[in-house]
Amino acid sequence: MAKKNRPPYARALKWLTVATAVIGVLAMLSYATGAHIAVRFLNPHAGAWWNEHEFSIMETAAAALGLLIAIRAGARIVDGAAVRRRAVIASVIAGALLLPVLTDISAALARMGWNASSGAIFDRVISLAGYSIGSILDKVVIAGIYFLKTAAFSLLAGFALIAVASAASIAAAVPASRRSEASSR
Amino acid sequence: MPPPGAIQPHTMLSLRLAVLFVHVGAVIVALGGSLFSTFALTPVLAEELEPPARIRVVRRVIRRLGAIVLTALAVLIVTGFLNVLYFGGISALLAVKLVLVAVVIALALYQYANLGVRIWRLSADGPAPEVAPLLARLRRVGMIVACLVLLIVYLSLGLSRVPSIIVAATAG
Repeated sequence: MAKKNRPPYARALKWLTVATAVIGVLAMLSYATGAHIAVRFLNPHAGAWWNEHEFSIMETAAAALGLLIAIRAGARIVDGAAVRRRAVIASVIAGALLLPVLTDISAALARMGWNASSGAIFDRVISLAGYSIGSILDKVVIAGIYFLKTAAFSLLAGFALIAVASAASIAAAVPASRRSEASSR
Repeated sequence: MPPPGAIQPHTMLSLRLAVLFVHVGAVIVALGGSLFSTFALTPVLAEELEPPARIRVVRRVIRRLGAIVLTALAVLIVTGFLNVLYFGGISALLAVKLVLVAVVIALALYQYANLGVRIWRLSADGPAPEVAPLLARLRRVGMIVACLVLLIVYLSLGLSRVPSIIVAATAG
């Protein structure tokens, strides 16, 4: 699809994806480095609010990012402008409604490690960057991996959403086609 | 002692078992539908029906089977998430399986929401020469999807039946 011919919903979805990624990465870096202190210095109330919510903002943004990437990738596969538009709009609405639940599930899955190698990563980062910088870098790596894993699980859920929405969109197109089929007989 | 995440023998009526039942049922529907269409329906239609009647049946089958298979794959993901939460661990083998699941969904979307929609559109006025290669591609993609689903089933058996993998996954 040429960039100029992209429908408005596709452009909106692209900007929403970029905004979600930026918000998520900022929240992740802030959580990992304890940057709420800087906000507290400028505005104590805003800093306290940010400190309380930055982790959940990071998780929600990661889940939303995975969903949006899956919906956009799925939409590229679907053929037919009308079918695609219906599928994308339905999956975005369903995704927005399910986002709180999906965030909880994706974050719970992302918290499961597959072995106890995090200690080795910490040691390696400290040996490369020294203790003071290395311990901050280690937190950034841990938060970053958590962010990516949450987004990855949410990506799968997004594929499921666009698949169901496409199936519904295809099925919804059947009655009109049947009518034309019957009249052509 | 049973491994963590295993179903206890006395809990026949449990949410854990219900989720597993729906998960396995969705695999059967997705895989069975694709195999039946590829190996039973398509050859019989080609032998028994004239092109105009055949294309009418194929159009309807693609639509209906597409909706069923895509919905079954979505159910697989939802119940799969719940299974992992019940199981309580992620292994490298599970990560491979999840990547394969993403590939299968993308291929199934291509099969039904791209090729299927194109076949539907091109054959609106009866058989068209452009439809035959699309139908052949639809069958090829269906075969690939079926093979990948079989591989996923095999990996799932490893995840749930090989003690060393179960212990490694739940020890992290």
